[in-house]
Amino acid sequence: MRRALGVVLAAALVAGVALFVQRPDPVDAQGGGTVEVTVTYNGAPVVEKLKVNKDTEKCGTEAVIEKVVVGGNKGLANAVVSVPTAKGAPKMAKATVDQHGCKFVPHVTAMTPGDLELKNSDDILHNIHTYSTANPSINKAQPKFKKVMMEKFEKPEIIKLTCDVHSWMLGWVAVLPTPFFAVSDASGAAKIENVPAGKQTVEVWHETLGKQTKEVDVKAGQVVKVGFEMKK
Amino acid sequence: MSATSATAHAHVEPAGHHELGFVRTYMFSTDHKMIARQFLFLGLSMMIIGGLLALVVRWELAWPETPVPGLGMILTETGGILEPSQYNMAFTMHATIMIFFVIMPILAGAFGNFCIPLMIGARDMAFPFLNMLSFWVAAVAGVLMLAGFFVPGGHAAAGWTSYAPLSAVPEYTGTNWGQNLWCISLFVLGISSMMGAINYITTIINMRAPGMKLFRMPLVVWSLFITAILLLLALPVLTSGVAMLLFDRTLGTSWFKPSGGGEPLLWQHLFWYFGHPEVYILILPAMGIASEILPVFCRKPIFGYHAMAFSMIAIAFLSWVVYGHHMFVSGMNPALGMAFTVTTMIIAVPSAIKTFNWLGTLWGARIQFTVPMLNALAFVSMFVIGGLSGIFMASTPVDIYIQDTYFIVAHIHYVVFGGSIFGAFAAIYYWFPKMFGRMTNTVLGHLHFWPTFVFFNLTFFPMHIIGVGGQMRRIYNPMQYEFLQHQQHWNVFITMSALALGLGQIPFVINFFWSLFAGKKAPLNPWNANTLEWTAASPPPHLNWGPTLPTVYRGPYEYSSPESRDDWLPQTAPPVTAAGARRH
Amino acid sequence: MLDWWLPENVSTYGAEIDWLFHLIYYITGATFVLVFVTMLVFIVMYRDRPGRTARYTHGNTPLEIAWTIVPALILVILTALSVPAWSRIKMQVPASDFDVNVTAKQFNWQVGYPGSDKVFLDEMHVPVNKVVRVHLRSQDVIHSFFVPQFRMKQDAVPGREIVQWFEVVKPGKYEWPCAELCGFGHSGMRGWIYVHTPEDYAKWAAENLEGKGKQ
Repeated sequence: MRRALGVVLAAALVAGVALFVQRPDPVDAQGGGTVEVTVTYNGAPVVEKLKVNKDTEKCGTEAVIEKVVVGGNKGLANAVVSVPTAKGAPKMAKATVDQHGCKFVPHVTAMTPGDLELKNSDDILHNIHTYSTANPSINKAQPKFKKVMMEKFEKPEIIKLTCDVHSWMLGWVAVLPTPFFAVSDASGAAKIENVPAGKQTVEVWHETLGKQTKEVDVKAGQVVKVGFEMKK
Repeated sequence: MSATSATAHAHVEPAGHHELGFVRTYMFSTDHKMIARQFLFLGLSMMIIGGLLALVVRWELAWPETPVPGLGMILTETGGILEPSQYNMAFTMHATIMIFFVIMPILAGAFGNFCIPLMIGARDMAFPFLNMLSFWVAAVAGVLMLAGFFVPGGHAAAGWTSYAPLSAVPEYTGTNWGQNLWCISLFVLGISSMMGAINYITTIINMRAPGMKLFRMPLVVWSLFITAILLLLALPVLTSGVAMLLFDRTLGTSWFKPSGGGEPLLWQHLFWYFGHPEVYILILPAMGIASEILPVFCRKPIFGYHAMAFSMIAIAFLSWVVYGHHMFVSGMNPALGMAFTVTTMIIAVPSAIKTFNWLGTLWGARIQFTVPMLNALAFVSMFVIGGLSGIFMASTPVDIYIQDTYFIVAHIHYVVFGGSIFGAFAAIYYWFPKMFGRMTNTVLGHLHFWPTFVFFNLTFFPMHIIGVGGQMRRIYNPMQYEFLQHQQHWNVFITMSALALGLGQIPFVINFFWSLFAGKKAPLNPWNANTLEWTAASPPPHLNWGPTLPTVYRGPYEYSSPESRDDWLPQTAPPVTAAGARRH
Repeated sequence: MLDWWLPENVSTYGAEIDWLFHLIYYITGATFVLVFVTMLVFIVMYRDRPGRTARYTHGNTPLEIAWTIVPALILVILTALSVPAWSRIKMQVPASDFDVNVTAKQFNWQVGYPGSDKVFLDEMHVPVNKVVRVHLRSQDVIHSFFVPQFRMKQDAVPGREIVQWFEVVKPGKYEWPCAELCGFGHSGMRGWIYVHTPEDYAKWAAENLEGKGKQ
């Protein structure tokens, strides 16, 4: 009897250790590669200017709407770069958009499904009016005394963000199915770290120039560079 | 004639019939008097909500974007400051509640139910069960309307006029279930109104006591009769309209949405085709009440009884053909504007006739300034102001400027508050003894009347001024406009008066409840009035009178008649005979 | 006294509107005084006192007829005066070579001029003493084009174009609010109409109307 119990306990111990050892690795800093993307555009920047007659103390007298921002070396800014095939835990960092100087700052915000913090650091009435299909659209005033509003976006989608009080204001919220994303900076560069190794698809989206995808092979601990040239 | 049908019609139960339980006596009563009380309580409770919403609106206009006292607990995100969409909700619901859940239940529901059978000598309405249903359907509508405050997205915020496409496309306001509930609630309420209208018309036509010819009916019964006809014909249009609006919002139809081939102006035509008769529904009972109370406390007949009856008929008839005056600048064909200005100017005539007849009633009178009389006099005087301001808008060119300004808001409130609400107060003080068997407290009655009258005028008269100055309706911050900044002090003055007006209602609440339980027991006929209800007990029992219905020998306003030693002569008093004790 | 509050009128037909406003104001004012004085006199004179008897009368037919006909006549006259003015303002759009396109939206006025692609937000520039024809549209809900100092108001209805006009006699900068509830941004929806002398207008047009795209 005692011997049988001993065998059972030993077997349990072995099984437990084996399970522990076999437990899949958490997706963390160890084991991924880096994807460095450069987004370029050969065309001219598209900037619209509009004379402003409303809330001029905060908005100024001229609004500048930059739809296509081209920097040094033809780098395209505000492009959302993501690796939709890579799965992982959602980012902990909170996504935030501020209405500042009658502009959405940043112009393009990328996030995983969850909460978006909407701030109004101007001392005037703004409005969050989103246009989307998968997520319910939002049309809410954000008066000056409501400095922070939280909205939830649960489904991956590219959402257009406008303000009806200041109709030149335009922003974008890219709700992505993957935590592996970045938004290209003024030089068109975007770096995504710790992408799981293997064959992945990299996708670039721009508000007027559309979407492009490329296949890459991500190797652990290495940097893979990808270039995208956006076309009209 | 009506005699046999009256007695045969009512469900006369043997004396000493079984006691009904609490539920069937108080909740689902089919007795018109209990239903009247239910409507009265519904209306008065809703008036508190509607009044508080008005004060919220006024606070914002006087002190924009500051915390509203008391709202900090509800509007936690902003510490009590009203957001623009909440402001829109406040004035939308203020008007919706006051019109549909205060004035209509009190004037048409409560006093229609109470006065009609008693004053024509009937034991109850023609259809008591339908009557009971009409209250409960209205109560359900009330619950639906209140529910809209608690749904995500808030309540309806497109104005009580709910113009499409703002109201037809949820995205334009960010309001979803609130506006849907608004539509559904009004749909249900329309059914209640139609039920009540059918009952009132049938009862008045078929169940008058012997001798109660149509032109011996008290004017309040005339007014309720005509109101019921308007209700019957106007409500179906609103009911259909809100159903269409609901379908646009939820089922993807496009009655009013241009994107789907619909027409926004169709909503306005439907709404105002109902809306204009609706405002006469709101005022006619009050006119009837004033015509009822004035003779009693002047101790002389109403001046021009037939003119009074016919002018009400004329108002009702004309009310169908004036509705376009709400739409002069709406984009409808301006030629229609020409037609509607003619009819609108004409409809002022019967109202003028009524005013002069009320003055004629005061002439040569023996005026007794009881609390009901004070309220009736306030009705006449305030209605005159409201009516006169209407003439500005009747003129299409002037309306170009006045439309959608505070001049309209002033006009509206002089007629619905100065008119209908003072009429309602007059009726409550006048018939309270008969309804509840107790007298109200006169001191409290004065403490209610005088502040109400004074602060009412201080609140609403300046709105004419700021309206002429150009202040638009439905904005929450006049200081956003340079051309309005110079008159902002009026907004502050108006709000302070409105707050005082609100406080002035406290004596009424105290008086109402205190008198209900501890008021002096009312005699049969505290006012020495002639009409039939004062021959029934205070309050009347079920079936109103004993075994015999009253018989009517004369009109309702034979005060100071040479045929009587007293200064009154009831409708039921047998006629003078040559050998009679009465002097001729 | 009410008329102290009317903003200064600077348009041609505004003068007709103000004339009618004043006429109605005097008529209703006189009626108001008449009715109220009568009522107060009656209330005092005929209050109940010991020994008083009320006058037993059911009415007076000649009086009834009189006070039906007199108000009716006054109102008919007011109608007769109003109708031609209305026709001139709303039904007859005078010929003109100056057109402006206004498309209202939540919560701005979008202004455009024929021959130019530029869209101006919340501002309009017009020359003085010229009939300006406004082609009014809306891209979402009903708004209302209201310029208090022009005495002009016209609802902008989505799905249709409405042509209205004004002619201003004094150069200046005039406030242009929206006068029909159009959503939570209704309060504050406001533009400016700049009325220029012909020389100033020519200068503005030269600087601003050339070229394409948003200015």
